[in-house]
Amino acid sequence: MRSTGRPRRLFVLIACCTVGGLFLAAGILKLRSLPGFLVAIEGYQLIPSRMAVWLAVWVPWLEIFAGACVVTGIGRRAGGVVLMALLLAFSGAVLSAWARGLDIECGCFAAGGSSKVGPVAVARNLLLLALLASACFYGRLRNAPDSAPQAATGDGEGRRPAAR
Amino acid sequence: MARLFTQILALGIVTLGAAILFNQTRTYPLPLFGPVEASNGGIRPRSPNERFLSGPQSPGGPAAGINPPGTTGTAGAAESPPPRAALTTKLSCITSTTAKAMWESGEAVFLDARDENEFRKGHVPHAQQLGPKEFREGKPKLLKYLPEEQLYVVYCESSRECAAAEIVAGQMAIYGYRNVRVFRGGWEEWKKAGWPEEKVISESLSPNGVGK
Repeated sequence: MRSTGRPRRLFVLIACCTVGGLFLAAGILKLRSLPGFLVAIEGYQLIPSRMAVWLAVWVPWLEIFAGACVVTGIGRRAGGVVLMALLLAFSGAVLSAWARGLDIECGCFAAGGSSKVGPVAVARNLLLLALLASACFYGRLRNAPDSAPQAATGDGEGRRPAAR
Repeated sequence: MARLFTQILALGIVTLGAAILFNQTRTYPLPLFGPVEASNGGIRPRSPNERFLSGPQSPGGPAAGINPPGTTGTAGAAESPPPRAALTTKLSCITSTTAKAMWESGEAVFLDARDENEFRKGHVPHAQQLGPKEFREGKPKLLKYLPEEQLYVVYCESSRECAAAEIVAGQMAIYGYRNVRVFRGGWEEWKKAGWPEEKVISESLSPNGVGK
């Protein structure tokens, strides 16, 4: 078990630091330019103005806190679920804008970035989603054969090896 | 499962609290609680000049006098520049809430697409006057001083009354300005909201003069 546990632990660590760190950075960049992020949200033409304002204010903080949870391992699964929900929502919005032929900024990171809506943004989101899901839930889906690495990576909610 | 749900809920509440607190302590907070105008409700209605921007140019249309870059006079108007077909999707509109936030943060340069007289009577502070007329002779002089990467907000009286802002935004896109937003509510909404305004008092001041 130990031979498979160590690589997995490393994978979880790298995946969580990558995805969580990305969201942390994205949230901080958005906070630096809230009006720019609001413009990016309105560019999608999906939601009313009032909701766009609330999302522009809330989403960066959600990204920062959830990203920090995933990186530090404190409430990793909760943070992971939130980030996965965000990634799904972002992918849906990007797909919708792409389908409508809108040539707008993705708004994924800093406002005014060069990233546009399109297949690249969707593929990137799905890749991050897969990485996050495998890092946060792989052990659980496999009925936690390697619960020790989960605990070792700092997830306080790792299953106890009760069956052993 | 219940624990996970509780944690997610807690995360949501904590972040929402932090977000509201952070926003309200900013110098120019986004209007979370104030009235938000329903100028487009997030959905951009079809504008009068979209026909001009996307389809064949109609004689006597709203922008019949506007020429594509590199052409002058009426002969040039018959040629349709390559980017024109794509302009309908590149025009991005913002509400007055967003326009105000962008003005306060100083992120965007405001361009007033109304005529000079209206501009003199009152305009968004620090805005530059750039109407459709300025594009008749090719690239306006003002554009030489405006970097292409900068974010711009173009407005006119209101999109119900004039399409000048969208015409200017479309023309700017042709000249390589990709970060142009149209403030559809325009001067009418800005003034109605009681937000700051600026007037040109001296007759000698040229509204097109950069840095004046």
